[in-house]
Amino acid sequence: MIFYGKIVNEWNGVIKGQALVSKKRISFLGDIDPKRGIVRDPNSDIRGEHLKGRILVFKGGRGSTVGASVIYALKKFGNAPLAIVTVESDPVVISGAIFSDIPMISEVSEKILDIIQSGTVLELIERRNKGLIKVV
Amino acid sequence: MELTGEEEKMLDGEHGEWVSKAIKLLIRLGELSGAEKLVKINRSHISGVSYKTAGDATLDMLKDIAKTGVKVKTYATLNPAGMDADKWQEMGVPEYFAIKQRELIEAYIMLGVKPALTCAPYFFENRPKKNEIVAFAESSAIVFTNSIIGARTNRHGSIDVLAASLTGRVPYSGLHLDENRKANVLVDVKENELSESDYGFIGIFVGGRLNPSDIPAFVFNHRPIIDNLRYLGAALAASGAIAMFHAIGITPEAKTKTAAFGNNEPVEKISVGREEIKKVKEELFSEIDEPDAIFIGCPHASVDEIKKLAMAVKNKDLKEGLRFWVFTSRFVKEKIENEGLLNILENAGIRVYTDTCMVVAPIEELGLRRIITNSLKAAWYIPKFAEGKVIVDVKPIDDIVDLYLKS
Repeated sequence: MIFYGKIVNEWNGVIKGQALVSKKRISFLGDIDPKRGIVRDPNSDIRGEHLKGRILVFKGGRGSTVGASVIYALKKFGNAPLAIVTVESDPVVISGAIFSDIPMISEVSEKILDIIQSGTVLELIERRNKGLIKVV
Repeated sequence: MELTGEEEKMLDGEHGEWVSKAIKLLIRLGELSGAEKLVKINRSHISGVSYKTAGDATLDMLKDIAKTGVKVKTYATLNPAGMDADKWQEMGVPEYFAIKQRELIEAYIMLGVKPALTCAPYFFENRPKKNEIVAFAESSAIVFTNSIIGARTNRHGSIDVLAASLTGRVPYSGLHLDENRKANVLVDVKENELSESDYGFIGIFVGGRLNPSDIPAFVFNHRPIIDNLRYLGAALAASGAIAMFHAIGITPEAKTKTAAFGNNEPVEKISVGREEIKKVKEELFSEIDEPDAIFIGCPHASVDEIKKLAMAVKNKDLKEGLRFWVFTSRFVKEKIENEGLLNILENAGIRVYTDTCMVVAPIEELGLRRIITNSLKAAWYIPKFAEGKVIVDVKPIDDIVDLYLKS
């Protein structure tokens, strides 16, 4: 199965990793603890999960613009996700990904949130200026 | 998006890693807003300065950026910090906060940003010209710049305004274009005896009924002063994320109703008077008789406002145990000091602080629980930031002087 999206931040070659999927919007300021690299929002459907080394797939961003700096802090503490895949194009998440050198695809069909689950292995490939997400 | 040769070089990293990231971010944001090109800017105003809102995450990121030696390409000024740089101890700001706050300001200075530390840079420190395209963050300065000066800025956040400052570019879109600056909502203000706080109430009421892309045009049956329009704009931005309004016959792009609306027909007509003002006051704010503190200066007080306050409090004394703080910029404070007004305020027991304001100072850590202010922007944000630990009442300056200063 394949999904396509818009490339927000490029990468070289193929990124392969396990998905971490949230159907909700994330406010990186507040919802995420960058030092421990986990989701601390008690209302999140991925509460307690570690972001490190996973492909974070979620609906979009919400909340404070300081969220972009929190994404940067995740990277600095070595807790950044391998890549970010979103349904919506949120300026805060885009800012964070670009400033932190995290590969990112946005504007992926919302169906991805129903079809893939946390733990599913994904491959991200650049193809004809589009970001391709392949379920392995 | 079409890029110039210079912009291609920025993207390719010829100006360093951070300029490359910054321009990439502006290109992506431009694609989202349908911009076909970037446009050069010479001026910007940066938010994300108070340690209370920016936190360690922003501080660490700014330090990393500054370490590379990159400098801003615009004349860039800073929004207020979380404390008066000189009088933070007198304000009661904890030392750990002061240390972090200084580091944050230092990082911005290393980037070449001017530490104006005011939310009202348009008076003196950083005033755009009419029709000039700029990148301003700080919602009250955005609405003032577009509406009252007739310069052009979109709504920027702390990160994209930093990117705009590092590159001297913004995506050409939104309020930069004539056709997007026309009104689409008509607001009829029925009263003519309005206090500065009433303008704020009207802003909260109208902002709450609009979408962020709406541009209301106000019809007044009198002529408000600039400070009244400032209070109106700051409140519209607080409750409705509004970036621009017109006041027909008053603001520069609304000489007539036709000029304000262009080819648009009003999609909505709103009427505001005493009843609506009363409703907002009752729904959103508390009744406070005995406040811990009185705050004036959100947005930062103008010279005119402080003059008016000084005349009202001359030879009067603040009631015991009360704090009465006025927030403004260093530039304005120096002016009022030279005119002998600062002395009048201080003799009445009023303190004037610069570099900070009631919204971004850590007031929940200062032991203040009941606040009275004349500003609807402050009244809107303070309880939210303090997560309900602080309650706020709104009264105009005239009432505050009558109630809390004795002859």
